[in-house]
Amino acid sequence: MTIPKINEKQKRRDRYSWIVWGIIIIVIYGWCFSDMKFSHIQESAGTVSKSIFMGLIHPDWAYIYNGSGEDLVSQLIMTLAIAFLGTIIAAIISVPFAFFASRSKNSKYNVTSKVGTFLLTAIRAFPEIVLAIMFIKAVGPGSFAGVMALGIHSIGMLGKLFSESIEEMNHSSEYSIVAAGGSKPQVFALSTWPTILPALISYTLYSFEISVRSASILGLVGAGGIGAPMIMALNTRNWPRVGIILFGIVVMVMVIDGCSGYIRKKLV
Amino acid sequence: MHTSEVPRRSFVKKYHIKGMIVIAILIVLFLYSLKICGVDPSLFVSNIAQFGVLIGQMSNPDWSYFSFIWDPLVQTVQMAILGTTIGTIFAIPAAFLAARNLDHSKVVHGTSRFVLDIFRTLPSLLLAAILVAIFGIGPTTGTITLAIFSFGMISKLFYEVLETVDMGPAEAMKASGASIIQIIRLAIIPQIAGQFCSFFLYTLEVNVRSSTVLGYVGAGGLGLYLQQTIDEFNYSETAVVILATFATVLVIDILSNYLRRKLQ
Amino acid sequence: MSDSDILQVNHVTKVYPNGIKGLDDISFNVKRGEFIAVVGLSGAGKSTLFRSINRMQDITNGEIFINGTDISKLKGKELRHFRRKIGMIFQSFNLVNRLTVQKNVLSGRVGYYSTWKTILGLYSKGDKEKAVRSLDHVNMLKKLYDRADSLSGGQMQRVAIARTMMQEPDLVLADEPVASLDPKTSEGVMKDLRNLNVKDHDTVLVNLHSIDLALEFADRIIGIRDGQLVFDKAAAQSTPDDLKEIYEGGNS
Repeated sequence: MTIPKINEKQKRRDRYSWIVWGIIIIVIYGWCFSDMKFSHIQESAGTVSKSIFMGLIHPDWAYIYNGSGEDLVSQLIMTLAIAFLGTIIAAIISVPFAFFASRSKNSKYNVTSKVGTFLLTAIRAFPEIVLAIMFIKAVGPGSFAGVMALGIHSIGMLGKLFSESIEEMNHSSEYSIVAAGGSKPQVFALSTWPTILPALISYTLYSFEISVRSASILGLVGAGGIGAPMIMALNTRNWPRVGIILFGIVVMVMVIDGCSGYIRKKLV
Repeated sequence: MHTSEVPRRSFVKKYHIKGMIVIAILIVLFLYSLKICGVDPSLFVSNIAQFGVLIGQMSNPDWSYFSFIWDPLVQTVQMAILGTTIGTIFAIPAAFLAARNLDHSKVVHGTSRFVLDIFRTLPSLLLAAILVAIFGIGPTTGTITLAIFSFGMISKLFYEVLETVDMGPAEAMKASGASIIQIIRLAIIPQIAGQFCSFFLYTLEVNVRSSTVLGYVGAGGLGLYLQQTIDEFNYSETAVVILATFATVLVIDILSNYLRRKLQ
Repeated sequence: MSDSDILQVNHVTKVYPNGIKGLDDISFNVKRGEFIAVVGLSGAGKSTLFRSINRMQDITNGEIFINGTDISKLKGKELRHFRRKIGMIFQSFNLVNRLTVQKNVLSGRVGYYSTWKTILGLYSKGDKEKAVRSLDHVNMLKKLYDRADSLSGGQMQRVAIARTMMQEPDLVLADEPVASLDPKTSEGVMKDLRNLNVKDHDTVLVNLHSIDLALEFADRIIGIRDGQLVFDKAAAQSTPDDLKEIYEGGNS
């Protein structure tokens, strides 16, 4: 007869914990609503959204390409170039970093590994826009600042993903090279590298997908790419142009996601 | 001499033509990108003075500025919570529409997926820039932005979970004459509730990160102060804003990770 | 010690850092050209013994001589050169899945090449021909340019045997080579190992679970229980009852 009693107790505790959680949630939302200084929605909201919508269905087709280098296609290519450079640079830097981090995990260098992990977390916590603003101060406005910002931001992500995949990799083929008399560099070249490479490429592509999205907003702060004409068109209320740029970004991101997803599926 | 013949390889395979082409394309793209982005490391040297000032001031944060940014910091977190919640409310029905394993036509889930894909192409800051033009400056716009962004993200995460649901219990109940509401409540929700909550928290983390910068384009929260201090070259105040952002993100991450681990 | 002994194991003990005894005072000699089966329960210390013989791990006490050399003294380059002459075959095949069969087989020669030649894949013509011959021996030549992960388990183990042949080993250590294969494939792989012994006159030590395979293929059988050597006889003089004793000993 003791068992049902315990169940009863457990049940009651469960019910109490539900009530406690419910109260916590209600307090959080109550706080959000009561304390939130809601701004008024501007009266022109209706007309502006109508204009944007009209702009979207009557986009400024002439802007797509006009050879000036300021047109949609050139700016989208610039955006892709920023994302591409940022990702490649980050990937190249992250590889040795990740190998070092995962090697030191089980050794006396454990402290370095912890410091490294903390640094990567810190880098990831910085929104790329903040990095872009800082790099604009360092190298002046333009795409270069964008490349640097995305590069650093991607190191935070790729460093983590790379070192995790190295820690989880299957080491069995390394033993056979060691057993045949291979030196450490040979073990790396013949076994570790070919085994880990597909995972590294897959993560790099994934990071590129994210970087393309980020690159499309860098221009909002002056770090190059499609964001710059976008903010200009918004400020001058040039809705047909906003429409075509929006359209361009959506198509670009979807195409890149599609291609990258296809390659990643083939790699596995 | 050999009992079987030595296999032959095509020219393309023997000289790894495909791999070579891929590498060549990557190198060309890399060089072309370097050129059009105007990457020039010497710029670091020519701007070193200004960057030095930035770093110098930033390493001396002006802590007194913290009292000014407490309110927007709180507002940032509130925007993220409300935005995520509103987005989630709309995302649940959308996820049910987009899931492939529930009974409805291909047209329905195909179209809903395509629409959701479009939602997910837009980064939240870009969305905010457009919505500010529509709704005006302030945290309301930020909340709407985050709601739309969360909607896109959560509905995808949710429909992927829905597609992994084991329909066995649901079918057993259907056979015994349960209503659709009963089936959802007793056979489907128990399987997915944990993961749904976990994804909600994960999206909240992402939204807290983005809400800290939304103010940069006028959509409320801390980002406004980021822009102001930088425009006024008060980098020692900027440092406080960045550190506050960092601390907030870290605290929310830790809380959310703790809750997610409890849910599993 | 006689000249015909290729391997001498003298009072070898291995204690793991957690205090568990992997090997407990094991001694035996192996003559050149013998085919020996090492049998025992899993966890009895068979793999520990093999890993100690090619210095994949260090022993706590005792000595191991190969061709009269005390292997515990070897370091760096000497150790790698010593390993070139010891072939190792694993239960999980340990091929590099992403590489072709040819590259996997050639990797058996890794100890004879400099690092940069390995990276660029610059193997000599002689070695490439040797790889073809080795694969032909194990009937896998038709898969020369296939990727290793496209092969079945039995095929992978044959490729691993071909890789070992590339080393022209004095001694082959096969650690549970057939434990993850079905009975029919096991038989084939064991025949390939036997061929190494008969045709190439290699000395072969093989870890086995199966008493039947041990009796069928080996010249001599060594039994290990709880890290101790409990049986050592020519296969022809061993009876199935003897071998049962190795597994059940103490409990029967």
